[in-house]
Amino acid sequence: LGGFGATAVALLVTTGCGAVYHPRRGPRIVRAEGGYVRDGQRYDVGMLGGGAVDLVAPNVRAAEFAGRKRSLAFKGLALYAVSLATMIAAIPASQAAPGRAREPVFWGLLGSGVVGVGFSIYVGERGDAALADAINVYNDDVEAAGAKP
Amino acid sequence: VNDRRLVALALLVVTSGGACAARGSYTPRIAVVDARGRTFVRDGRTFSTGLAGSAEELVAGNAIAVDHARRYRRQAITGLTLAGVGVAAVATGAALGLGAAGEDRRGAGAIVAVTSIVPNLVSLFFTMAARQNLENAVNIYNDGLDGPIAPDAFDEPRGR
Repeated sequence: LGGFGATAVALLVTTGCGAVYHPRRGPRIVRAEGGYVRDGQRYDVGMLGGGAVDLVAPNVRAAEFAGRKRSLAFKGLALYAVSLATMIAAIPASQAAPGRAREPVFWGLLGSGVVGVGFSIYVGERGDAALADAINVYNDDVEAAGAKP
Repeated sequence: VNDRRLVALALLVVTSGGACAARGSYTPRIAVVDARGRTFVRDGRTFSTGLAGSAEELVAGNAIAVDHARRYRRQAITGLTLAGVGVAAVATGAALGLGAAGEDRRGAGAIVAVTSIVPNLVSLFFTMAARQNLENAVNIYNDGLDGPIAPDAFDEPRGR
């Protein structure tokens, strides 16, 4: 184990893991330093889209996409929580059900939960795509305005 | 048959990753255009790196960016391989532990399953490092379009 770990660390170091490039200061939004950077200022966008609107705030069209990111992130998380609860409820609900109904109740709830989790991931990714849209709309408008970094 | 259709639908939803963002415009700058940060557009061309695909063509023409793109690929492949080893170790451990074998085998299975954490964790580091290098490659390429990158661009910026 020790040898394996040492080899992995050596490989990680020799492949140049840690270098972080700090992009040139400019009006465009750049993904860097574990978040986003615009005009030399760092912005973080949370899992639920917090900070997304601030990131693109001066641009109304981009802010609409950022708002969609927030909305979809909330919906995705809510759906995920409900679906997870449904999957967990499958066991007690099936035990409480009368004999012949136990199996259909268990598989029905578990299946619904799995589908719900899958759909929540999809909704969450739609939200991430909306954030990518917001940033690209913002940057394209900066480009169109002829701003130079 | 209905159950199979339901499973197929769920798998389709999970694996489709159909959350593609709108495509960017024709500019020499690289823009990320998907939710997972693996699809890019440059000059109206779409480049996809996939899980461990090459990003060299994406940043071709900028030697420093290409160097980072190579590091990204090496690390992504290493991370993916280690994750595979980790998953295989979990499966082996579970098979040994849950099988109808004796106590010794169950003990060995538990040890194999627990130690699978190591390759899984190391794979996580490689995957994170790979993403960092891909991000570096794209930013270096884009900044390179406006002139040579600053010599201190890899140092921690002051006053931020």
